[in-house]
Amino acid sequence: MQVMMLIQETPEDFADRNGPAAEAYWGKWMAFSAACGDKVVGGNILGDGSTGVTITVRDGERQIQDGPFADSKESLGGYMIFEVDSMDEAIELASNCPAAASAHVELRPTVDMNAG
Amino acid sequence: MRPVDQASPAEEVELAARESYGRLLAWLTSRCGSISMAEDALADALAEAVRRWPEVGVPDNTEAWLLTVARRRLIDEQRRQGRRADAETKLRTAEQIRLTVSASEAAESPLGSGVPDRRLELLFTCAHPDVDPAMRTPLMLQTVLGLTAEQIGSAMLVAPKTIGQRLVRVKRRIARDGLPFEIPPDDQLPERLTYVLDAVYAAYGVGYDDANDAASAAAGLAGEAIWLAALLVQLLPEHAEPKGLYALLCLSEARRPARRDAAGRFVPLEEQDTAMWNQDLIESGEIALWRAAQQGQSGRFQIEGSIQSMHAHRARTGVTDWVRIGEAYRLLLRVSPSLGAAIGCAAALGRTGRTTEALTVLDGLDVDRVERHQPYWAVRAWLLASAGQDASGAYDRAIGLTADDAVRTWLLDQRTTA
Repeated sequence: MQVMMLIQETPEDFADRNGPAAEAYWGKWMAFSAACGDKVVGGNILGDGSTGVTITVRDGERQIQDGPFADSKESLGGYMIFEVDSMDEAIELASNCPAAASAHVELRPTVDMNAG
Repeated sequence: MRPVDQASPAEEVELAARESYGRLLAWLTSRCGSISMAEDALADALAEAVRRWPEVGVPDNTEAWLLTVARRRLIDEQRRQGRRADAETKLRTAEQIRLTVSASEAAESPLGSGVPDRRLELLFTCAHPDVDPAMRTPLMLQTVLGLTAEQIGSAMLVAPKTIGQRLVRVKRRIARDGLPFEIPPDDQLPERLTYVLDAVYAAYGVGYDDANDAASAAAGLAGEAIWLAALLVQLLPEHAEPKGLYALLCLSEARRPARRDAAGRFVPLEEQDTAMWNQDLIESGEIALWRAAQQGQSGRFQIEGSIQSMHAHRARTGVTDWVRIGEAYRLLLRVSPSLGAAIGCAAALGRTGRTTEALTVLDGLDVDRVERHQPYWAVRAWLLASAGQDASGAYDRAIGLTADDAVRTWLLDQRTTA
């Protein structure tokens, strides 16, 4: 089964990417993804919320806004897709994710549209 | 009725549940033969307490009150089941169930609360050889301690819904297969006891390395495991190994406050400030070890306890006797080989400068078993670094397998300075 891990990060995490703590920040991530090995079949790092655009259409009325939809402290910093045998296995992998310690991560099994 | 001055009725319910849950559930299960039925009856009684106690005040004997209500629920349920006359149901009929506490049983009760203690039987059922080993610990935590699926799941890295479903299934199997609710006969007892002790140790082992925050789910579990070990010491005074386990847990737990410095940074065992070790826990552990030794039955948990005791000696002597610790690990490997014993042995060898030998011990371990085992990679990285070899790969593995941010940061530093 494939499980997507949505990675939420704090503003400090985003700042660490290019700041003085960059080496430690990336070190954690490199080590984490290496430890996941071939369980990772996909993923991407996302720019911080200010680089995003939110689009809503209501009754034909289109609204385009800069930034993420909700103004929460944590925001989506990336995602990874695991190929695993069970949710248990995905939980074990995800619990070592650096973002789980600083903000949080969410796991969602993907829906197989070709199934049965 | 007691005046409600210190705790609110809601807190009183929680307190009563915490103290009495396992004892009440074990007794109810021994009467009806079904853990789930007993749980439902007890849950109803607790819900009733939440409703009633704020109105009528907290009863003097909360345990007896809960038992009376739960018993009534159990009788109602039995009648309902009886009407259905379900031939498939292996539950004993209402007549067979003695729903009153006889005078002799009340006299057995160690706490004089009127409820005979059947928790030992319950523990043996939870760790029965026919119960999936992975489910023994969660089952104990739920039935004896009344922990929720959410608490158990958080500590054991399983989704609460999943662990809840698995618990329901395992309880159904226990009822269906009619697993005995009894203390095993003497000839089977030592072996069956190891399953019980293993399951309690597993509860403690969950997150020992990772979670040092006292408020975290896994650290909370450490306290629950010590409580269970103490219960086993009390219920099986004739046996030495429960004392060994209790000592092992107390002595390990004693160091928890020293595992972080004031800034929240991880502090490895050999750099810990011994003044921060919990002396009361160390003393409890040492006394238990000494009592166990008087009984002249050696065993795995007593050896593990004595290793922790040797570490505790540094508080008095200022030094750690790694040679003796290494010998104890080698003995442990002979008595009860495990991944933990091998890694401990390698670490002790490394401390006495026998790095090559230590790496040979690690190389001898099964690759599949160590692949995702953080302590293996952490010790391997340290040994490679001390031998002047490239340790960066092993450090990366250890860092990637760490859930605790403080440990991760410490390992990152070690890798940089290695």
